[in-house]
Amino acid sequence: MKLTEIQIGQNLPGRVKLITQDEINLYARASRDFNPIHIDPVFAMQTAAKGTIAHGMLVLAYVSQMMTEAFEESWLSGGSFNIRFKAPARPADLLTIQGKVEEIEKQGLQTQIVCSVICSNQNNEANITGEAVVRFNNVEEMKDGH
Amino acid sequence: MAEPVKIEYFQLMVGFEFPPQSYSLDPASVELYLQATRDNAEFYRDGNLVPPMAATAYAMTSLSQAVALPAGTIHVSQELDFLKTLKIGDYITCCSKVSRKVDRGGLRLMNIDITVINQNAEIVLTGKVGFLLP
Repeated sequence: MKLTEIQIGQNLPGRVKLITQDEINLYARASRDFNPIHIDPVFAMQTAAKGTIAHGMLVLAYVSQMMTEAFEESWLSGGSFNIRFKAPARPADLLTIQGKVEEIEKQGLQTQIVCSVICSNQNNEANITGEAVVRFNNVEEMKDGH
Repeated sequence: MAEPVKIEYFQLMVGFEFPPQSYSLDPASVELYLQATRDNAEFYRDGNLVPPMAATAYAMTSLSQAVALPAGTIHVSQELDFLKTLKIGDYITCCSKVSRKVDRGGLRLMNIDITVINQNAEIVLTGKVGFLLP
């Protein structure tokens, strides 16, 4: 997304993800987080969660993917999240990740794009809500055409 | 190998620093992360770049391996600032510190600040994790 083309109210490129236990298990290997609440259905059934739940960081990674698709390298070295985990995601949940540009703030040589982000399940229950901000260096972005 | 001894919640005080943990962002580890998150962005593979959430995942894992939080603890909030692009081959160290602990009227909250630095001692990301305890 080019800085000059970004407008308040613009939707970010959303995505839909189906959570599976296989994927949670693979994420456990990738992140090295083998907490049984994520990967052991028998253990998880005996907890308040009543079943396995996805790692919160896996779900937040999907939100980050949306930000990367929209803002590319500006997100990697100028992005920030301030989010709340509202409910865990579970195997077989179909997650919808959405975002919208809420504010564009010019501050000297920098421009901040403030976006609302939400991840919700097939029942329209929010898993994650919050804000994502991307900071652009105006001079460099104009030079690069982004 | 024996499990490392974890620090219990009641032992934690504001200012407590957890032992730093280091990770190599080698090609196999990054590819596994991209597969696990079904991230098809050629952007990362073409540029030898690493998703910042991969480093965040390692930071969270280093934390969960260091502290034993009571059953029923909920990870309620997360702040993150991505300051520097990570590349394949980078070597990161995850540091974390208790920044807030509230235990009042049945409400128990704890914030832990995380900082990830690279092999050049540059800060690549910072964050704050919020826990609600039973």
